Amino acid sequence: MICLSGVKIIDPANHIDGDIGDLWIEGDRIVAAPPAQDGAEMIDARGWIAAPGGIEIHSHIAGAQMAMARKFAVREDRMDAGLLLPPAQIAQAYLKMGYTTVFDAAMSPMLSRLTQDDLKAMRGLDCGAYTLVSEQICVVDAIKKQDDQALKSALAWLLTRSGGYALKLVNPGVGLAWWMGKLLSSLDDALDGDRLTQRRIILAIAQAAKELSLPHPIHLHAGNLGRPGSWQSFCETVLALEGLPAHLCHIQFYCYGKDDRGRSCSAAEQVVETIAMRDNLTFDVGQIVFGPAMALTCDLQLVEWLHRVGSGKWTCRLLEGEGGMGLLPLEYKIKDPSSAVQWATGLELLLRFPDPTRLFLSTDYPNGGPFIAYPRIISWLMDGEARQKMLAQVHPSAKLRTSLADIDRQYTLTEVVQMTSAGPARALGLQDRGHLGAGALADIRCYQPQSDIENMFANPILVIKRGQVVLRDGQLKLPSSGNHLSVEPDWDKDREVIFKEQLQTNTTIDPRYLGWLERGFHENREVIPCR
Amino acid sequence: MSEHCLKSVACAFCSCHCTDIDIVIQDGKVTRIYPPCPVAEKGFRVETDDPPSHGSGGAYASNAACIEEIYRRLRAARLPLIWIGSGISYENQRSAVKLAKTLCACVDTPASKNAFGITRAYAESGMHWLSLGGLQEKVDTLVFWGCDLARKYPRFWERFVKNGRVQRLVNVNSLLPAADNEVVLNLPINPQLCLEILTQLRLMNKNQAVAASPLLHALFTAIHASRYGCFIFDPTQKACHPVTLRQAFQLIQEMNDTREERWFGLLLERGVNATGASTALLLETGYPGAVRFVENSARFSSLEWSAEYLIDNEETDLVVQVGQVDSQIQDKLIGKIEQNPQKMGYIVLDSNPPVSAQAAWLPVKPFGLNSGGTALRMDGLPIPIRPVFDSPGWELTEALERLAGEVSL
Repeated sequence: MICLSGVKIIDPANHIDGDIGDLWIEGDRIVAAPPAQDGAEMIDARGWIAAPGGIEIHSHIAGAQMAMARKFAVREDRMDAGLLLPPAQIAQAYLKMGYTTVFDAAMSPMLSRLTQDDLKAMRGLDCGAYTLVSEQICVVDAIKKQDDQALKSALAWLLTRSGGYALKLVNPGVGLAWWMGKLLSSLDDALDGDRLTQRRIILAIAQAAKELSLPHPIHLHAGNLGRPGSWQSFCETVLALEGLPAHLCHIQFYCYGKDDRGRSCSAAEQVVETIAMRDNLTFDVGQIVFGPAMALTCDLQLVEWLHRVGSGKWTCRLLEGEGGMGLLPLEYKIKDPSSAVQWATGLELLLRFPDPTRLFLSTDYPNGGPFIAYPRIISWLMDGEARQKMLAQVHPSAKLRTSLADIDRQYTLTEVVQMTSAGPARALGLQDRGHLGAGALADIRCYQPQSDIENMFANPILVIKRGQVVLRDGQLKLPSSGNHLSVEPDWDKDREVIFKEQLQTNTTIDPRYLGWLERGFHENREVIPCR
Repeated sequence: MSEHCLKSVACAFCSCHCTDIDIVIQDGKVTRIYPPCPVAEKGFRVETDDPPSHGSGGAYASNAACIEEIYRRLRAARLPLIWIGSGISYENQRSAVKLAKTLCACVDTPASKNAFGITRAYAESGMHWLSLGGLQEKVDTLVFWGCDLARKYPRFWERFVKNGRVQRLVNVNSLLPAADNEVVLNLPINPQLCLEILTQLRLMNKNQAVAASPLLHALFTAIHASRYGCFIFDPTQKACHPVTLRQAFQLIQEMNDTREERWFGLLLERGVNATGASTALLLETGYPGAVRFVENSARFSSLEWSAEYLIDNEETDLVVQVGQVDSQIQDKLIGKIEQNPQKMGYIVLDSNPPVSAQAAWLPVKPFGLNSGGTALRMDGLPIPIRPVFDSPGWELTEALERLAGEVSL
């Protein structure tokens, strides 16, 4: 048993905001103070702040696309080391920041065996991954036929067999359109003769996810990302959901209007106006940070567009029966007007959005930059002076084309905990995380308060994962392994034969040899119930 | 004599990783396979030799004694080299990298000789890859560029080309199966001129005047008559030197930028690496080859820590070979060891006995025959390989885990 005594507790999910108290841990759980306290390891935590472990809702950390990205970033004598880390180092970097649960944002079912292997190598972290479904043959076929039962079974089958946690949709239909040489620009563009549209795909899958009672609703990467004027199509997508629950990811990239010269300018205010009152939706920001980044996405149209407008090299990989993925190296430069507008727009969005339990911190790693920049981003949110100082350094377009300079709001510590822990836990349906109440998983981060906010968040004084001290005074001691979080929704098992036949017809692999169809692959599997 | 047939077995022995092989087993040996394939026959050891004996590693009384001896040598080593080869599962390749990390050793794979050059070409130019299903389903023009399909990938043609949508085939210095001579254009180019040919194609693609041969014009015309096209390269061949590949990747990028058709590439990159060791190394360390671990962190130098360099310059004092490795470098190693066995130790964790009597050999079950795991197909898709039949003896996984456990104590 461990006791953190005399600690200042920040636990917004339980409405505790800075109360001084003791936190008791037994095994891997937080427990109520026991009547007899003999033999407990007492940690004098007076003066420290304790918060639930950080939860990463959207980051690309594993699998074939990361392997491709690492190859793509290779240099003469070193990797672009700060950005694209190997799996074990990714886990260590997250734990050092006090993050204890991380989700990979896009797992191809066909390649899920590789993703799972990477996640397994991330010792100490609890991990999960979102299964890419929007280009899958069995899914598209069921939507075309308007067969809701088949669709639900197809989605549940893909999730269960690939070991996924949630359903990921990436600019749905983009793979189909790309092969046809078409540009997918609106929700109602016809994707084929069957009047299949992006709107139909999103609605059908969102509805199915709801009926499957998945802990996390659809995780949606919408269309027209990054383009000037994208805020309008983004808001149309929000409205198209018709009240169905969804998580929309890296939404900074959609907060763009056009100024009178056709240049990108912030439309964060308009976006916030549309989304703030829609309680069915959660979001992550996809904040950019200055420095190297890598566009890494299954939105092939986006990567090709970035290549054409920026003339940078790019790469893509097309996968049978699934669509594809693309990569393009980026650099966000402090004196570049576009980068400056993007940086300021992301912060503006975070500062305008009223509810930190619904808009979460992310850099869409590696798309917006490294996740290790979170402490710096937090410092810009909590410290108006630091923000203004940074704003003065970046290209003036950040002041001219966004309204960041006019915003006074400063995040409180509680709000930071909401956006990095309590909020994501709730959005992901993880009931035993994101809070410090009795029965919660003992994932805890402690900070020594200091005026240097960035340093405080970058260097927790103590991190506890599942009841084990994994970081103390800067020294990392990894636990043996983390859990693999997944779901097992109900589905019609008789349909598996049909799905396999569809795969057999459309791919070169015998379904009996699709690694992801094999059970028993996941060690330390933790199934989160569908309620 | 008991005989039985196993249907749809996955083959681990070339990077096509066919999953439609039927094999006949008689008295614990594979006696026939169908469809016939020389690579698979060799791998499944069809009526050739006995399965390796297990339970007694070389001169050692038991595998446990062998492990003890290996551990003793590892503990005494100043700079060990973990040399990861093919013929083992992807999981075991990753475990071998982890062992290197625990030992603060150097680690290399036979594929890394090419991998760095290719990876650099890819990093400098970008590339459009296509999986084999996409090739079969979409591609109407295929350009085989220096590929030895007939000898190294005997069933590639039958599985992915013959039943596909290909209308035009261009053969640039490739050995294709003679039976299906549907090639519309044969270009027997001197491999040393491949770079020049690609440069000319790039210029032609930019509508610049080039004094090219009629054959080159015919190639250009064939390429641009397509909707979807794919180049297939075999980087172990001279026609696919990394510098040439870089030019080819750029050509593909430029064709996609300037024309309506879409072009892709596919590397038969795992000639000496049928299960994907370079990928395993890259995933574990972030580098495509030749790494040295220093205090948990991987340092990369494609030359300084390569197996060949370390052995040539006697900078390693212990080589741990896991799986099958490049025979040329292996010969060098054996030469060194025979000269001075005290200077460089040699440990082999493989199903095949080592050529050198100086090696400590831990025989493990052969992958794809008595042992399973994941293999990466040439397009990167993971294929689960299952053991064809069970046999006594050690799994490589077990040996690596045991060693890692001993070393970390």
